[in-house]
Amino acid sequence: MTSISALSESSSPTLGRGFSLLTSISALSESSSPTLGRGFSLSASISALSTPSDDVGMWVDASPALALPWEKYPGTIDTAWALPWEPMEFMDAGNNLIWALPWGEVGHVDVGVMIDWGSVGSCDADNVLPWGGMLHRDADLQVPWLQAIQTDQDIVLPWAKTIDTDAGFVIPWAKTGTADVSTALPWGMLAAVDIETRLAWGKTLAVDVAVKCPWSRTIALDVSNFAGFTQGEGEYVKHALFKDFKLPWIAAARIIMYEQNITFTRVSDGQTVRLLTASVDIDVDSWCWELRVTLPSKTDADFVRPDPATGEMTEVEITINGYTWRFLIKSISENYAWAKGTYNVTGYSPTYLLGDPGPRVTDTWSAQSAEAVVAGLLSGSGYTYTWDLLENTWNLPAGCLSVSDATWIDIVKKVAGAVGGVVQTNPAGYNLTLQSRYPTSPKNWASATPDHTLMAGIMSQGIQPRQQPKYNQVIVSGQHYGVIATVRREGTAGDNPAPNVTDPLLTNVAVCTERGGIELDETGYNKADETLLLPLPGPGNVPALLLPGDLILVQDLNEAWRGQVKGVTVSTERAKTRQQVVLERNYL
Amino acid sequence: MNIWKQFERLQKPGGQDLRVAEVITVYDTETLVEDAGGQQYRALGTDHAAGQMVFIRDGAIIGQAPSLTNAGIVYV
Repeated sequence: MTSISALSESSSPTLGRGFSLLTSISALSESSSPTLGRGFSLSASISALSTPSDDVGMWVDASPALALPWEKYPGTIDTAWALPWEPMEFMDAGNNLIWALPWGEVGHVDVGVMIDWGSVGSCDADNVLPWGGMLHRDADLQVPWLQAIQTDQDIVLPWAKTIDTDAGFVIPWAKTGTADVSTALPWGMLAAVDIETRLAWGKTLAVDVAVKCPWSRTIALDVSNFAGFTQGEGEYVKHALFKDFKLPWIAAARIIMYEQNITFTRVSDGQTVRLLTASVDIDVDSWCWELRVTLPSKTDADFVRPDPATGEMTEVEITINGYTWRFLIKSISENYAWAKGTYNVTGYSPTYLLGDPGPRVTDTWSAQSAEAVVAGLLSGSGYTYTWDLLENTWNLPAGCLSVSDATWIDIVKKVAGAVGGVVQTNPAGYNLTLQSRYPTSPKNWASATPDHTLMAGIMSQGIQPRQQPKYNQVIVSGQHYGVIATVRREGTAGDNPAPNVTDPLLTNVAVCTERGGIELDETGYNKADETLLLPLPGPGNVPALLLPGDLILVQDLNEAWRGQVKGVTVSTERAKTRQQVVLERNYL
Repeated sequence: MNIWKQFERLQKPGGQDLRVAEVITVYDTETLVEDAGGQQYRALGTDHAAGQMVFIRDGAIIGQAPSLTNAGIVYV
């Protein structure tokens, strides 16, 4: 028993807590019961290793005195799962240690050294390390940044400059492959959404009304004014709002999609003219539309160029998403800067010829109605009119209307302006509309039916306040005929009078009242010009083309308010068409 | 918006500054007049007698006005 060591708690030296290494112990036996650490003992009920049998890798009938502490395996060992080393060979036929340990004789160890088992016999290198031999390193797989240069330690970035490396190693995953564009953006072209299927997530649970809009910028909408929807859509939204979904922001999130469709042609022969940009605009104080177009080439400019010798203007027609306007081209200018080679074209509605370019009149009218004056003036001219002013009550005595060197449009505007009216040309260009400056008085806007409702699609919004003197009374009188009337705002003392209004066409109380009311509407309230940027999807869609005088109900993100259109500008450029609307808003 | 119209309004707020008023008292160089609303003010000119209706433009009497029927106060 010269080479067996065993563990015993009672022996020294100590290997950690409760471990000790004992030498010169004959064997491991149950009786020795060495303890491994605290409370851990080798309970050696072992059928130990004794003599080698013919069974591969197995020992049977070992002497208990020499056994290892684990018990005999009761089953049959499958040699296919045996340990990889071969059956043991006898080391010394005359020695009982032949079964002991396979690495041969171990020399005496120094007790003072914790683990020092002396020389170890050679073993089969093939069985020692199961993972085999190391492979040779492939030089091509070395770290790609090559050799680093020693740096100056005083430099903040100690690695200093790096050496240029082979780009092939810099990004080990090499180039990325070409993406399939057809699958890159899965949403691709948006298709028209069927409102009936818009809420794909189905019914949601009822929520606490107090917390249903946690992000704050949504507002409760007045669905009674959902004029922009078709009947089916409106019913659906109402149902969604009140019955099942409780989603008041659904209308505000409505998506407006439309196809851009712009055409620009010469009326005389239908010649198509290409354009880069275009805008048309009108406001309540202008009687005709104005066109501004940018053309890409001289060829296109020549198609519409006016004749400077005869002064004849080229008539053109522009269609923007289904809305059509007629214009006479007044001027063309070429842009030389930066070699653009583009042409700016300006035009006006055909009613432009009723102004300065047209004939002038010096005349005194006999007794007739105000409307008859306009009708007689435009009769046979190729122009028509729409009378939206006082009806059947406005008669002019003979000599009441007299002008000298006035254009036709001056006369029309004089008639309309006498009762606070304005003159507008329709987009088609040949019809004048005489309408009130305020078809509905601002004090009645709250109860009036709006011409349009805007609750979605507002792309931007700005405000320009206009403080007014807040007049509450005005004296209105005729000049040589008619009456004098004191027009006072109802519910006021008339203590803030406006400058008097005297006009020869104010011939009766109704006319004076109309004019006085317009004057007070215009100056009697603080106002603001609200500028809205909207899409223009085309006729039949919301928002429609808004015209001066239209009363609009706006459901924006913060509140619902009403305003009257003062002016509109429709512009188109490449793939977008917008209408910028200025609404007059009154603060009563 | 129509810039010219905005400019016009700046020049003559309230529109055409032609007024009709009744002569109350004639002084040496001015005349005290009263408009239909009962407001009295002085205008240049002494050519019209008390009780006559006159046209006043920019603070000066420019001529005699017809006696138009006063319809009184109309509320809007």
